[in-house]
Order: sequence, then C-alpha cells, then structure tokens
Amino acid sequence: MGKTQRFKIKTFSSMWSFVSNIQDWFNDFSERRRLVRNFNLSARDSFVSSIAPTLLECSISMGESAYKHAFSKFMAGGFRIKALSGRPLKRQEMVSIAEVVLSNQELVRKLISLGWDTLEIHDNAGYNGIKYKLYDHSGISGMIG
Amino acid sequence: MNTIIQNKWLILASIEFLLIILLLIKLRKKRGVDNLENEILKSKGSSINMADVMNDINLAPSLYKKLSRVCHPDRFAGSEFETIANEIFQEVQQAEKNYAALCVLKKQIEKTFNLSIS
Repeated sequence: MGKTQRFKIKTFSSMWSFVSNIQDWFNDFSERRRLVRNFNLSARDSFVSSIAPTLLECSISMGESAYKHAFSKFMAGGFRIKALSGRPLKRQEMVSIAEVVLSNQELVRKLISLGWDTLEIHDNAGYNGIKYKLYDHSGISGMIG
Repeated sequence: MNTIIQNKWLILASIEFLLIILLLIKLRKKRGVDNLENEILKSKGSSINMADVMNDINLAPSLYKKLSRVCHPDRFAGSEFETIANEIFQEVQQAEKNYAALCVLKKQIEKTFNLSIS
C-alpha cells in the first residue's frame, strides 16, 4: 500500500467519524426533546385526570457547572422540573418529587447518558428550589467526571 | 568503580520498574472508565414509561402510607402472621417510591391477611 493511499484512507476514516459524531449529536438532541415531551404529556394527562394535584412541567436548563461529568452537554445539563403549584412549595414537597426521580435508577442513567448532570426542582411562585447531582444517584461505582 | 556502575544499573532498573507499575495502574483505570462509559451508554436506548413515573410521584405516597399502616408488624405481635407481616413490611418499605410494586404488594397483603384495602 502506497503512502498516498494510506493518507486517503486515514482522511476518509477521520471524515467518517466526524460525520457519525454529528449524526450522534442530532440523535441525542432529538432523544432529549422526546424525553422532555413525554414527561410533559404524562404530567398533563395525570393532572387532567385529577391524579396529580399540581401540574409538573419539565424543561432543559443550564445546570450546575460543579456537577458536570464526561457526558454533560454544554450549557444544557440541567433537567428542570417546575411545579405549577401557585404557592411556594415546602422543601419536603420538593424533596419528595426529587426522590421519586432519583430512586428510578433507569431514568437517572438515561438522563446521564443523554447529557444531563443536574436535577432541579422548583415551584412557580416561590424563590426556592433544590438541585441534585445526578451522577451521585446513578448507582455506578467509579469516576467519569 | 564496579559498585558505582552496579548502583547505576540498579537505579535505572528500579525507575523502569516504577514506570511499568504506573503504566499498569493507568491502563487499569482507563479500562474501568471504558466499562463505565459502556454501562451508561447502554441505557441510552432504554425506553421509560413516563406515566409510571407520574404514578410514582402522585399515587405512591398515599398507597405506601395505607400499606405500611395495614401490615405494620406491631399489629400482628404475638400472632401467627408476625413473621410474614415483618417480611411484607420490609418489602413495602423498599418499594416506597414504586407504585407498580406497591400495587403487587397490596394484592399480596389482601390475600395473606384476608383484608380489603380501599
């Protein structure tokens, strides 16, 4: 194999990996949007069918820079759940919502793999909220940070 | 002169040995990270039912309270159901945030203690 041919193969493989990286980025982006949409739809359904007393709404936020890990998305690492309660939520109420999300290891791992690093819970009336580092609740031993 | 040369080679050999150990440690750490990355990336394709998550948030706390009250071991102290009540109570505590698991336990409690939980 000549030197030029080897160079061509190397260039092609690096271009191919670049293209596949872009494709992965778009796939991740659509998967993140789908997860947020599913969450909001389910929250709306349970609120309409009066299972839930408050309407929850989920969105993507910047996240906490101290909670970043190897898979964190730049400027979009926060999974924010807002409770449309109309009154300031008590800390215990926010903790109970967070505990349900954090106790679901499959969900936490999925959130981490899709680039989220912070779970944020807050209400729409008060000024307080809570933040959790998702990686601490994934049940994985080892470092990826 | 001989001893100086011998010492020189000994020092070189020990440095080399340390380098090898360091590289081995680094390789082991890298393998650990790779496994971890694979483990996390595997969960990317998993599908999560958000309706279940909503049930866990909204319905699980009230059902947990009911079940933990009904099958509390203190209620069955000294009776034949004491050990079973203990086991079921522990399972209920483990499934505190899981509505689906609590529903299964509710049926089991109703069957075991011949109760109807509304």
